[in-house]
Formats: sequence, structure tokens, C-alpha cells
Amino acid sequence: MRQIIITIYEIYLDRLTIVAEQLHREGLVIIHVYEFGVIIGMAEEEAIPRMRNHKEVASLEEEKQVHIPPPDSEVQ
Amino acid sequence: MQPPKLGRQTFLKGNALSVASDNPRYTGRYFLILDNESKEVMEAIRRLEKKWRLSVATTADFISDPPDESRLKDADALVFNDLGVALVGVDEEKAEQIKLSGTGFLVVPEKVVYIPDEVTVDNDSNRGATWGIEVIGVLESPYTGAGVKVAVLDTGFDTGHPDFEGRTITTASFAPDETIDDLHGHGTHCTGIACGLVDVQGDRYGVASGAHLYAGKVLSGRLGSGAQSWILNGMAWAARNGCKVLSMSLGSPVSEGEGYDIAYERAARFARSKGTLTVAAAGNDSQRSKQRFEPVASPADCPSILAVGAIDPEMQVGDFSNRAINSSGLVDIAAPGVEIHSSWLMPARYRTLSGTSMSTAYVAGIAALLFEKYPDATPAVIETELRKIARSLPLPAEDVGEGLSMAPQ
Repeated sequence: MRQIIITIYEIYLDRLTIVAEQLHREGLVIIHVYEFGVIIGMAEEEAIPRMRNHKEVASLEEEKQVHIPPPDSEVQ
Repeated sequence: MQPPKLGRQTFLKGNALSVASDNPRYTGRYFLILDNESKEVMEAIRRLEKKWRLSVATTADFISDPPDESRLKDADALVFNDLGVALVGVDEEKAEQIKLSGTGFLVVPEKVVYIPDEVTVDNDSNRGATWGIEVIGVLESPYTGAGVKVAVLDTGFDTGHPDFEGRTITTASFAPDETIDDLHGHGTHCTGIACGLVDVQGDRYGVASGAHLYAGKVLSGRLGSGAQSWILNGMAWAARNGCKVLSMSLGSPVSEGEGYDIAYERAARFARSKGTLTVAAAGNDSQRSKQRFEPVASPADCPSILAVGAIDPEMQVGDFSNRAINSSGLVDIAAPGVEIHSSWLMPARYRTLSGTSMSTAYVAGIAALLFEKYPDATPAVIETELRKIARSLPLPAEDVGEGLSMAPQ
């Protein structure tokens, strides 16, 4: 399973719940749905291409990690 | 042509203001701007010669060379043929006469042009503040960010820090199974800059000392790492809770040619719609001393997020500070980011650090002061004001944007 971030086109924001339900039926384990059109969830690798093909989906990406330097670094 | 007389008074009241500063605004010469089309230039020249007995040179005299004032010693006026403008060296009385004669000229004084002021920090004059606080004008600002909610999304916050005793603090952790406790120190340092006041010696190190702090933990553990979803959670939390300022001293490196992250942009736009201005660190991936320049990091590269670059005490760009390389990833503004003293985990209590993280926290604090000054303003209005009152620096906009962010007066 991969943790992914899906962003819906703004013109389809009113269909956000319907899109989330559809993605769920296609295998997305939904972690969070934000009202600004972003869905976070987990999916198997092979289910991802199909999810990406929905006309409402503007982007589907693997969730990024953010790091800052360790505490002993002088530059933060 | 009379040479510009720097320091000379003109009949304009505005010039009196600048006498004290030894930086006069006007040269003592005047531009006559033709009301009509430039085809009237020849007629205007005749008028200057006949009516006002001026000796006139025109830029047509310099067909092969650029105009050079030193070759105009005997002329009283230089007409810029293509511009329909004449520069005249006459005394105030005559300029006033020309102005009042209604002969089709607009008379405006020639302005003195200066390079932006050199801003350096005098380390000997300890005014009871860190160099960063001093240089951005916090000590002169009447604002403290009183009552303005400021969200700092970071490694958490040392809520027991004695410098924050008695402050209004709301906390939330978006890092699973962790409390707000700062295990790294980064969050406590950045929060100190944005919302702190004075250290144990009474020296000022924080900007918005009256702000209501919203500390959100989005980076976990001692090493300070986080998932994008935690950060989106933190952004949504800040926006829904009415925070006016959202500060993110964090990011992921971006490659040349890479676009901004649409999920972050959407979250920042949502925040804007709720009245929240978002600032983020331009990133520390460059090594300018080795000719290595890296693009503004994510999420600072989003159009709806202000990207902050770092300035050192000599008013140079911090060696590590990233540059506007990708089309969407501009540097919007700069702030102190080298050798910044602020709060740190107890028992150490303080630490001096460098980075665009520190610069971001300064701008967040300044934005809080602006929201106090203009309580009904939208984030867009505050952003415009933030840019307007920034101090121009003789440095490329791709490195410092509008220049040094300044506290409102």
C-alpha cells in the first residue's frame, strides 16, 4: 500500500464526496478528505492508474515527507 | 547647463524635510514637460529661447554620442527631443515664472536619485535587541500583534519555556502519538522569533509579543520529519481557527523545472479564503559561495504562499538561501536569517541559528503586527502592505524579492 494525495479540479469541488466514494470503491482507503479538494488515502500500486484517470482528478501523487536538519545543525 | 545643486532648497516644501538628513530630494533644476505632442518641440525650443532668453541645446546635438552634460556648459536648457521634455537650469524665481506663465509647460523639479541606503548593523551599539529585531524596525513599531492569532507549524513548542510564562497559547499535535512537546528545538526557536519578547537579560528577540500563539506540531521526533498530510492537517486547523498568520519554516527541496505542489496550493488558498496569510521558508539548499543556487523549496513555491529568503548582518544574501529559479517559485521577501538568537529547549533556553526558517518567523511576526494595524484587512491587502513597506536592497529580486521586510510604524 502506498500513501497518496489526490487533488480534485476546483470545478468539481461540489462532487468531492461522490469522487471520494468512487475512489473508495476502487480500493482507496481514505484517511482524510479536505473541503478544499484534497483526499489523502492508501492504495495498492496496481489500483493507482485507474484512480488517476478520473476526469475530476487534477493530480495524484505519493505523499511527500518533509525533513528539517538535525538539532545540532547550525543552519535550519 | 548649471550642474545639479545637491543640498539646495527649492520652492517646494517637500525639500525642506530632507535638509536635515543631508539627502535632498531635488537638484535645483527643473523639467519642463510639454503639454502637447512632441511635434511641438521645435516651437517649444523657440519659446524657451525667445521668451525666457535661455540658451538651448537639444539631444539632436548628440546624434552620435549619448547626451553628456559636461559638454553643455553654456546652455541653460537641454531638450530631450524624443521625450518632449526639457531640463532647464534656472533659478527658482524663473522656474516659478515659467510655471505661472501658462505657456504649455508642466514644471517639475528634477529629483536626486540615490542608491538604496546601506543598511549595516552596528554591533557595538547594543540597543537591547538582537540584530534582526533592530534592523527590521520592531523597536520603533507601536504594534505587538495584540490579539492576532499566529499559527506556527513546526516541531512543536516548549510550553514550559519561562520566556512565555503567562502567554495565551493554543496547541495541537498532528504527529501521531506525540504531544506538542518540542523534541527538536526548531519549533521553539522559530516561535520565539515570531511571537516571543525578551530574553532573561531583557534583550528583545521576538516580534509579535502580543499575539495569541497557535503552536501546531507537524514535524515529529528528535529529527523533525513529517508527512505532507500532517502539514495539510495543520494548515486546515490554523485556517479554521481564525489564525491570521500561518508560518511554516519547513519544506522539501524542489528540482529545477518542477512545478508547485497543487495540494499545498489548494490548502493555502483555502486558508486565504478564511482570512489566513501563509508564509514559508525559501529553503537552505544553496551554497552561494560555491556558485550553487537551488530553487525555492515546496511549499514556499506555491503562488498563494509567501516565500522568504535570508539576509545576513551585512545585508547580503545568506549563503544557503535559495533563489527564484522555477517560474512559480519566486522569492517574495527577505528577512534576517543568519546568526539569529532566540529561544531553545530548556535547560539551554537560548540558541543562535541560521536559516530561512528564522527569516520566515520574522515575516510571520511582522504580518501579525500588520493585522493588528489593519484588523479588517484581507490576507491580500496585508500582503500588499508587507511588500510596500519592505526596504529595497541593492540585491537581485530573485534572491530577496521586494527586499527586507519591515515592521509597520
